[in-house]
Amino acid sequence: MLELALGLPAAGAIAVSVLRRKRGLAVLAGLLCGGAALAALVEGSGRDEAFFGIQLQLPPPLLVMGVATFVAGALAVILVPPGASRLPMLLSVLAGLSAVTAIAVLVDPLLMVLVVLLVACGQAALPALRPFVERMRAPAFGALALALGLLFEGGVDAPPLEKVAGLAIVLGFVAMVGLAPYLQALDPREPAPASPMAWLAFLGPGIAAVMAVRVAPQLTADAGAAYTEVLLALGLFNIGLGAVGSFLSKGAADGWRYSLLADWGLVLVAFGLSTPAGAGAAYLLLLSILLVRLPLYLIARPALVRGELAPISPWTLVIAAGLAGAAPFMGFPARLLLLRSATVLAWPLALMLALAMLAWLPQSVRLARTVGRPGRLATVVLCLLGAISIAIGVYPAPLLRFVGVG
Amino acid sequence: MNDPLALAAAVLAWFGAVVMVLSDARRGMAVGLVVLGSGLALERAVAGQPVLATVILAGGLLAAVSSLRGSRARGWGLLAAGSTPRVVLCIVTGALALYFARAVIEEPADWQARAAILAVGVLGAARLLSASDQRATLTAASAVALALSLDVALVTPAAGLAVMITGAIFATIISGLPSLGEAGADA
Repeated sequence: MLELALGLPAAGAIAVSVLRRKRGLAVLAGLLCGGAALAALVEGSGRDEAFFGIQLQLPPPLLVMGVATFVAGALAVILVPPGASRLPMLLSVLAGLSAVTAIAVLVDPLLMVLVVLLVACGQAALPALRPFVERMRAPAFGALALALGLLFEGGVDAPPLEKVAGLAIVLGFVAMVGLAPYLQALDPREPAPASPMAWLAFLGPGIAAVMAVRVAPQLTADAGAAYTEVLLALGLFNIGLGAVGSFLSKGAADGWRYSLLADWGLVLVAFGLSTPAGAGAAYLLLLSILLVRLPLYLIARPALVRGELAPISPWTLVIAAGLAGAAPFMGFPARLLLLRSATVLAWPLALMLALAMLAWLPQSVRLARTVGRPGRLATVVLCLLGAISIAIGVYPAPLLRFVGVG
Repeated sequence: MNDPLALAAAVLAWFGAVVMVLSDARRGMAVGLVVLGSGLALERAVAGQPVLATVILAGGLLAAVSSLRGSRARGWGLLAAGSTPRVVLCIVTGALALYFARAVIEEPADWQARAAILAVGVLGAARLLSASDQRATLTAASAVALALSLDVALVTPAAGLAVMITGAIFATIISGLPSLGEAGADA
């Protein structure tokens, strides 16, 4: 069943590409394949399967991220700017979903590296404003560093090299997602599939969940220690850069990039704390990136291109609250869990995190102004997402129990 | 296993990677892919895995053909001016691959296979991260995909053939990706 979950979106992408002259048929084929893949993903979760000997498995945290990525992909297709064709976005989303599903279900992390390498090459070959090499280097470096780390970790019995393995794995993870120090420029004129957003807000959450579920628990003591220490350090670095960068950034697009960076910093710290509460916070933050930040960025993109800022209205404040992780949205319990977990480890860390969270409040209003007053379809989508976010924010326990950290 | 043929296969794989790294045009890069694929395939054939060897060889050939079709820089482009650092890299990588395969890394398979995978993987990775040309980058990524999938195939023998076929397909797709100019982009 899981092989269908990763094969159907790829088949859908091929069908959309072949049928692109018959627009209606192409959209129908894409939607059917996407829907069937989602059903196969849910149906195949929790089982150990093998496809010609290749082990496939989908534990609950990866199922949650997979379903959220499918929802985010559907929203990306729905939220294509008025006047633009949905077919290129549908094609990219289906290809991306196939990649995310493959990353999530393949048990061997080295196979994930192969998938990431293919996606890095494919995404960099899409038409965009930045040169191919610039777009490909960070994810390719990430994949290669992860491969090096996994090879050293699995085939070497020398503690110094095991530490190098832990370091390579964490650097590979950060580079694949495109976080600092492997940050890429975000130009809102670039279509979303070709921009760094594809890694930061679409493929990244799945990769992060795989790192937490599959890679980190299998590291040896030396490699694991290096992994968590560097993860924490890079998390704090990204939080700091996100906070400072968003204050200093001139363009609103940069503000979006830095706000995502700050959120990812929290995710890294949350995973780096290695506690159930920290992991719960990280999963909620990843869901928030997929289901709140990505759709909002897609809605804001046309205004970012035009350089418009809407006046502050009640609508803007609600969006700002969602972006800042204020109550009752899902970012709020994530931040509470993170602070609780950090307090247990070291209270100065919790204090620093709390200050950084407060510092982003004014920036969230600025970002919300770029969203402005969306159109009718976008408003419906936002209301739906708001409801989901509030539901998880008010009562996150079932979700956390399901992913095994409740 | 101390079969001289296996060692020759590892050296052939390294030499293919060297040709790919030292070339800046399509014929050199394609021949590099074919030679490194042949080296990896020969190594597996010597180890008694002819089916896996055939898949690797086919992967290298197909990747080379799609690389030829996707590139516009004609000729061999070997040892262009300023390639001395690359020559040094190739020699050092070959020596280090031998050392690591024999003395440091213990798995998978025999040391000749590990040396071949390390040499191709590291040289491919170095080219991938240092090249400023899209075609060279894609060819290097293709070589890395072949080496990496062979490594996974050796680690998980039950899935070896499926993994290697997947790796060969990935290598071919990566090599065949259109250059940005051909995709009509750079806008």
